[in-house]
Amino acid sequence: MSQTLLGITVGEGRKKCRRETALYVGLAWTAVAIHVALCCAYVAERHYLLLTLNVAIDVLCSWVIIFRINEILLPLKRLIRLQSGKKRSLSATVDSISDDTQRIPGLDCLVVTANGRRLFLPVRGCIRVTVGETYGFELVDNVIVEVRS
Amino acid sequence: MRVTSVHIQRHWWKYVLSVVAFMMLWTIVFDSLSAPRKNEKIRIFYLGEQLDCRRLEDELSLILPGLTDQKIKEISVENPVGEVNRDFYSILATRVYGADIIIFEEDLLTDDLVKTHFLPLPSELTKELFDQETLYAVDGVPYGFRIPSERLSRFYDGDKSCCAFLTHSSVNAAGIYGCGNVYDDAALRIVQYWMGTNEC
Repeated sequence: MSQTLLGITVGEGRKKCRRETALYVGLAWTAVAIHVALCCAYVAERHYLLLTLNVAIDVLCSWVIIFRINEILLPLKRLIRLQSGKKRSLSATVDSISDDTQRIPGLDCLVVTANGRRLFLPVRGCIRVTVGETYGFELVDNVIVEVRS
Repeated sequence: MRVTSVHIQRHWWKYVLSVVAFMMLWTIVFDSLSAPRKNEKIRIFYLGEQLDCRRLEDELSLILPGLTDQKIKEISVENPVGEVNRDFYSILATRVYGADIIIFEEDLLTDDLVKTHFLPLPSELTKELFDQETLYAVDGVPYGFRIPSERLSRFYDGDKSCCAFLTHSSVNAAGIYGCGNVYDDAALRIVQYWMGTNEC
């Protein structure tokens, strides 16, 4: 049985990236449309109400975008880059898996020790390994991108 | 939950920055939206020493709604020189473009100064609305208005007579010099009020 880092093909991963980007663009244009409507409805009596609404809309949209970029889009892009990178094979038995994570190329990774070698397993990926089991690993810069059991 | 707390620890500054940036941006935008447009403010410059600008400004704010239908948000009366000094001509040259009305003490005026900085008043306007005797003319051509002393006595401590000139850049002079439109007439109505031909 084979597990890949993305759980999907690279092509599907890229499609997912494009959908995510389209979501941000759509959100930004929606905010722009609301701003235009609010600015057209500007009257001096509602100055502070409209100012607060405009700021609130932008802050909320930017928070959503900041969160999703950092938690969804960038990790996904890094996983895609890893999965499509040049792979090296290794067959080894998992000795231990760390409890803490390390940030290896911008991704939170668990440290997997297999036959005395330190390998890195991205937390956000779809690969699950068990201590004591022997696997065939595909590695890119010591990061596990595919596992065959 | 853990993902969120780790995310906040790493990226909190981006959220703070976005709040600050958007507050600054929208404050600037709304300041410019709420600022009065050229035809919503009347700017009067007084070049002399004895006029109480603040009191004149207060009075004009009170009476202006009765003089014109034009909506005015801001009236300012300023004395840009404080006391008349050697920069008088350079100040006048720039203020002609920022003001609707410029008031002088008459002894500061020379024919050259008037002809250089102001345009003649349209004859149909002066014949219709003003008494020829009260106009300030150079070589028989009217350029401005001699304000009767009783009209300014509450604000003016000096003993010189004062003259008012509408600037050719004013958009509030009913379009007499081609700027603005005929409905924006607050500056003209103020001058008429001083000359006693437009009572509120």
